[in-house]
Amino acid sequence: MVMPPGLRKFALTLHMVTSVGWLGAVATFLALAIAGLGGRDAGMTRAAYLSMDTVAWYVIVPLSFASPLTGLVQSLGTPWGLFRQYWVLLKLLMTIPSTLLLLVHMGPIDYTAGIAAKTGLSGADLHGMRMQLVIEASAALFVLLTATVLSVYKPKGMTRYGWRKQNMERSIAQP
Amino acid sequence: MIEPRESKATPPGIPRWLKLFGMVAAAFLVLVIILHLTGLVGMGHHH
Repeated sequence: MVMPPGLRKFALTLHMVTSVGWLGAVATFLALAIAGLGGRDAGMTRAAYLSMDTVAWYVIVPLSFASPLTGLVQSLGTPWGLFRQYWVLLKLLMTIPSTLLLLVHMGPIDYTAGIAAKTGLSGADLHGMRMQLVIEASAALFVLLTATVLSVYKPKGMTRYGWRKQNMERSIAQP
Repeated sequence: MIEPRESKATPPGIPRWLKLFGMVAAAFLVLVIILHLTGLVGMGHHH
């Protein structure tokens, strides 16, 4: 089902806003994670981890659902399809696990924020977990940047499924 | 608007950019596994 041009533009706008918003929110999260890790002042560290928890729950999690969902609409409602082009398929295979991993890792984020709220964190407190937050946010940012680059460049490469569908459609159009 | 198109009569293979991406992703995964195994990064390291 191909969307009419007006609806297609609207769906594309929604997908772009949610995807780039997700990228920006993860970049903010990473900045706070670095500030929290390197912060010598307990007040600063507490503020960083509490902000990270809020950004994660109220911005990153909703956008991590909105972006793949609008992407699904965009791919299924245009000739690009979901499984026809490698770049679309790769984006799907990168973003769905990212969302699932994010949900799994909300636990450590909540835990760190909870400890920071009660006692403040400094020096070596929860160092492994705090370092993990920095690394995971960096990895997430890398994945989202890759997805953005794929969307802009749309590298060539049709899947076998896409090729079969294309041939089928051509044979229907030109009997 | 650019539309997807493949004009060849033979089935397409895996593009070069995807092979390169796969290699980089595999190297990254190995790095993550090593970091976890060496205990440099991970949950439960409460010092």
